[in-house]
Amino acid sequence: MSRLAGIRVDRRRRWVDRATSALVGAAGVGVLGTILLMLLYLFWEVTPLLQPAAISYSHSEAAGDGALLPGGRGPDPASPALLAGLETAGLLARPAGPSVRLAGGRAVLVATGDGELLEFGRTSAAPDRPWALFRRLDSGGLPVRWLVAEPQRAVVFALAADGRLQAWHTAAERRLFATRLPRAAGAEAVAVAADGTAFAVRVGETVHHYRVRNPHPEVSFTSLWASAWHPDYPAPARVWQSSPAGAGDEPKLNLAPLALGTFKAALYSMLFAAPLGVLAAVYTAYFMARPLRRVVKPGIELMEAVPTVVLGFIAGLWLAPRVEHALAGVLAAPLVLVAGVVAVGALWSSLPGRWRRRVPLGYRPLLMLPVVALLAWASVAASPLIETACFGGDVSGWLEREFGIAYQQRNALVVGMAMGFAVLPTVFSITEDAIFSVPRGLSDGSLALGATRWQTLTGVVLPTASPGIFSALMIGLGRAIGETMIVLMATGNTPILDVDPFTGLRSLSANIAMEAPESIVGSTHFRVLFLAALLLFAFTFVINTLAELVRQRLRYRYAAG
Amino acid sequence: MTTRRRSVRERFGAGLRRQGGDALEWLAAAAAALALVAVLALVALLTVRGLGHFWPGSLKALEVREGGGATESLLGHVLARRNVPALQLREAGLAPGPGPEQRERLLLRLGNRDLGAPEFRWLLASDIVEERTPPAATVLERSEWGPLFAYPLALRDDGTTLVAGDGPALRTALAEALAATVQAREALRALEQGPLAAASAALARLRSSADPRVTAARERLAAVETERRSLRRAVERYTLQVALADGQRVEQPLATVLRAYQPNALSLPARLGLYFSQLWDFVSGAPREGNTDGGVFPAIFGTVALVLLTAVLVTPLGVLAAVYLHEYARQGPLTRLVRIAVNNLAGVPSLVFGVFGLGFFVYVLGGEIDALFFADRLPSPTFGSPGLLWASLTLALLTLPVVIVATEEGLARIPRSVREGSLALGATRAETLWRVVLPMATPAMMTGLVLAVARAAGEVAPLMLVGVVKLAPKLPVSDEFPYLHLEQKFMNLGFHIYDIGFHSPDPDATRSLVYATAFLLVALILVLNLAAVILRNRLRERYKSLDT
Amino acid sequence: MRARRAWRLTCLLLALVAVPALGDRTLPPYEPASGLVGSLGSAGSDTLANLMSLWARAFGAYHPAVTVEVQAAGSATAPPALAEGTAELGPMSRAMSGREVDAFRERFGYPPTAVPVAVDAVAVFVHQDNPLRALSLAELDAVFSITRRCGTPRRFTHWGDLGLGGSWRRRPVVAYGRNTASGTHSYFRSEVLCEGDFHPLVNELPGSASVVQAVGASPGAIGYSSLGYQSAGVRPLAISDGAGPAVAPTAENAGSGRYPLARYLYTYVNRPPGRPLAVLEREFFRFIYSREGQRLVLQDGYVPLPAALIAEQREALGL
Repeated sequence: MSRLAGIRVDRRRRWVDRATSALVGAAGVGVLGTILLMLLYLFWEVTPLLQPAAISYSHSEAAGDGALLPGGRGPDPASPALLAGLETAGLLARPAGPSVRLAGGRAVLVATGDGELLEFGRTSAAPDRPWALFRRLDSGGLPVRWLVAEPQRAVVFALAADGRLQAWHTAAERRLFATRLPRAAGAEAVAVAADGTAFAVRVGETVHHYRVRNPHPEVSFTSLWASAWHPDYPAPARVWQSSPAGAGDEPKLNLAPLALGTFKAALYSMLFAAPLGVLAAVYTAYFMARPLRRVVKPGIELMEAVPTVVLGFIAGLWLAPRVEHALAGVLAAPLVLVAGVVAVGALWSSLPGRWRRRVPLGYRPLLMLPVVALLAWASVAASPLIETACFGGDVSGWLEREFGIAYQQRNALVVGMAMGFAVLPTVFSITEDAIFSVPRGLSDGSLALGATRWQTLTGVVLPTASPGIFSALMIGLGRAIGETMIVLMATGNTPILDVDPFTGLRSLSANIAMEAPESIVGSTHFRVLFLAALLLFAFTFVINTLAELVRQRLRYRYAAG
Repeated sequence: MTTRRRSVRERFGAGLRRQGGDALEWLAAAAAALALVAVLALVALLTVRGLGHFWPGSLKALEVREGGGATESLLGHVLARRNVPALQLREAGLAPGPGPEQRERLLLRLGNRDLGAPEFRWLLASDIVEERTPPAATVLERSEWGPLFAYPLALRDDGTTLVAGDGPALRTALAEALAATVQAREALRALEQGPLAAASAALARLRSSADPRVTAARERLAAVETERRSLRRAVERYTLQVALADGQRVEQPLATVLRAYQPNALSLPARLGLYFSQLWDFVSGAPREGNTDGGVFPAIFGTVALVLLTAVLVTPLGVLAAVYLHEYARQGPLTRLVRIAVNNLAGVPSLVFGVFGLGFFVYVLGGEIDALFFADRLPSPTFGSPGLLWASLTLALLTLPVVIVATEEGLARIPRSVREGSLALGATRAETLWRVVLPMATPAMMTGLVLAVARAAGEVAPLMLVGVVKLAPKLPVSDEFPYLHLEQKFMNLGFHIYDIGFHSPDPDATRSLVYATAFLLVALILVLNLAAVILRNRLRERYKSLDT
Repeated sequence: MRARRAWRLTCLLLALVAVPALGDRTLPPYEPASGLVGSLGSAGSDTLANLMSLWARAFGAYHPAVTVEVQAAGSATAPPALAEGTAELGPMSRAMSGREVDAFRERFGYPPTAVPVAVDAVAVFVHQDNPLRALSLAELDAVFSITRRCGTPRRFTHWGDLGLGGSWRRRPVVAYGRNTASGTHSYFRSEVLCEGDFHPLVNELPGSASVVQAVGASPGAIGYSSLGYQSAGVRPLAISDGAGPAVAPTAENAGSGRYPLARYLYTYVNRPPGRPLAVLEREFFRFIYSREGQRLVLQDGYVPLPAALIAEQREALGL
């Protein structure tokens, strides 16, 4: 009886053991699965953008009296006066074939005899030359007979007399498809549905209908990354304007300004965080007295927990106006700080020894605390003086005269300071760990051989800790790239393409946060936002992996050497 | 000669290096100091501005003459002072007169938003002719239209004057009347949310069927309505007659007055008492007037509910994954892959989790759940729209690496001998895990959990996509089945900061409210993090003895 | 000096006009129906967000068993929310665009019903020390747009271009506006930019309040947002439509339609043609069109609807 019970207990124990193993294994695989699921899902939402467009025959019917397609759009040629005007302006050299008006008449596509499609559009560059050649599309010698355009998208169907058909998205410079349309030879009239899902051709007394599947024609490498000329723009540009303006306009979804903005913000924040974080970490790990370190390290690390929404609102509403007000002082602050600290240091070193011994090396930050605070305050307080002395009394005017930069209050500098603050603890903490874990024996040996403290640091400790420092910088960079709230709140979200510190920026993440809730599920805009998320994912993935690889490689090298 | 020169140069060079090294040491020390200064400055800014919001400042009575016109009498708080270049003022058409380059300008809060003049106003300090702090000046905090700043004249009860004059008699009578009004208001609220809501709901349930009980339910509702009317009359009973700064007389019903005090006549203990009562109202009250006034309780509650749910979701998976990595897995390619996945998960921007949550959880999973279980309510979605469940799942993913890393660290600290001892005594792996290893790793798990909670409490960006709202009238927990409403949208402290900072209809009024909310959030998160640090240190202490 | 006095006069007028609520007395007071239960969801305009939450609170006080949830990410969120059924009320600070109506019609076969609920003026704000008093729509286009479809020959980048002298002549114009989700953004774009595109250097801030705050904190700034967001540090400009004189954005001018940038704020609902509104929606609109409801409009800084329009709408909605 008791043996039987023992067996039963044994069986239960074994069963629990196996169940636990399965559970634990499932959890491990689950974590892997989760990240794969995320990646796959993001891809799944983006892939429809890459699907090629297609057209297929649907049915035929006898021609009636009305339009070919109810609510559809037939040929809509440009006025002869306009074409003549283009010729006199020297824009259109060759005799024009069929033409079609685009974007509510603000642009026109003209087919030439040798198979080129030329798009002309209105421009605001110079009042005396209202039209410009926007782009040439090469149809490969298609003798175009008919040109029709969708009313809401810049999708153009070019049909030759022999039934060859090409569809283009002009702004994306993308040929959607080139095919020979069955039964369409000798077409006498054509039309396209308003929503672009149907195409119709009249040959004789019959109308042939075709189905078009073309959900995302406006996405191409050109439209996402290269510059394009849009109607009424003064020049070709990379534009992010996700909501269409008028009836004939399309959203302009160029990711280049957003990607650049992301890197710009990350760059300026690293400009603050990297030197400060690494130097602070070097001191904390290598020089600082233990009791002090026990307070300082968690103190700085705790700041990692400050919600970025708080930093964002302080940066946008408190810091930005103050930086604008005391710009000269803020610009001079690094110089003032470095010079002031070195001067105070030299002064301190020349003091008599009994004074100097009061503050040992490990407690110098305590001495520096008031000095640094005072210097920073002095630099900002002296801003009007600096402004008069160096910038002619007006920094923003000086910036504009010298560099042509119009100072924006919500700029990369402010973001850099705020996000630098957010990234600083990350950089500091990992760097500090890396330096602190360098074996004491190495530095002791170096010191015993007569090297100075600083020589030991730069020659022995830092090289040994360099993988850790590198990975700290990389992880900090990754964090800066993905940060949302600070960028959203402290910049003007201006989708511009420059890296000036005094202009704003718009980052991928802030853009998603602003626009994702409003975008219609499944629309091109929605998918492009997912593409942006995927890009963010990819950036950070690459950076994190790079950090990991370099750390492993360098660790190996120093372990061997 | 040359050797001597070289040695001089070398000595000089060595000196320079030493000097340089010295300078760099100072710079490194300064960098550490600067980081600390930045941290301290942030904490100081938040503390001073955040806690200063509740301090009952004095009411200033000002005689102002702008640009040589007639004098005006104003009564208000001074909120801010700025220096403005005189040139800018001159070019703006103001007449600062000769004098220094910078002029002081004050931002006044004049209250009385319903009475026409702007509530906030910038004034040049030089335009102020006279400044007093009259002890009779009274602040009436109201539930709508912001505060009223005035001098009380008389208290009336349904049109008959009870007490006149602004002496202590009026003050006592006012306090009593206010207490009575508050009591009636509370009773009214209790009636509305209790019996009235119940009666309405009962009637609504019956209405569809031609039930004989409908008349009874109607009568019950009518009785409650009558009671409600009489209570409402009690609430609207008293009015206070006040004189504004310019002498105009106004009747202010006490129904909307929440609190009345005379800030200039307050003693320090009374002032402190008022301070803490305002602080308490902020923490425990609901927001008023489009989030520009009142408290943040629903946001605190929403944050706590979200964070707890996140913790419940993330802990099992995180702990088990850590156990897998550290205890079960053979160190092979799969384990390395999982580790890379965890590392990368920690680096993925929080917003990407939000996008994933919105797309996958809300639209895909939520849509499926609706189609399966809530088809009768379609097309209005139940789980197919952002809500508490999806938000906490998103945050659970986000905080997963935190829990895994912390737990693994804890597991690594448990000496091998402990596990081997357990196995040698005949325990299975599962028994060793459940009875020995996990209990010993509890502090580490707690650390990870607390850190995860702190991280989740501070996240805003992903929540903006998966379910946070600026105003949710109901808390996600109620006494109605199923008690926890996972599909509901909720408020959140971090988002509340964003909302009142950037969407407030009255930016001047919420200026310091944002700081108070931010202070609250930061304090909450720092306390959580400190708890994690203390837990971790405890853990280290405990296993130090095991190691030796 | 004179300009300043004139300005103070307009301020005074504004104050005088704003206080006695326009048409307040002529509206019937709200008589709550009893025994209502259920929930209403609102998703849309952030311009209307506070008004919505004021209404929601007051409505909730009358009907304790009814909850109203308010979500406010921008007007563009309303049409999808209505179409997906995520919300019953879609507050929008502009009329729905053709595309949005089409998307809705595709789903239900009929267009959504637009219900005007308040009048708003989009004001153009400058810093309080800016000497500029008035601008024309064409000048605004030249400041804010890259396409300049309204026909100004060049872009205005400095305050000197707008006619200011002294130290202002060389000061750059820093423009602020709302992000694309906002109805104010689209409204400004169609009314002021002639449906053109904003210049990429125009700061797009995620909230109307932050636009006002940014302008108030920077002397060279100009920004547009709803008049209801006005704060102490900024001043609204009078706007001329090119033909007539510049009109100050006062409640009176907005209500009468003289101010060129005044508009109705709408709440869209899903109402099948020929059928009455759902009970809760009906009751909510009854409340909005009552004296109490329109007084909250005033409290939030907007202009109540003209009484005639309210009568007309009550008729149309069958209230």
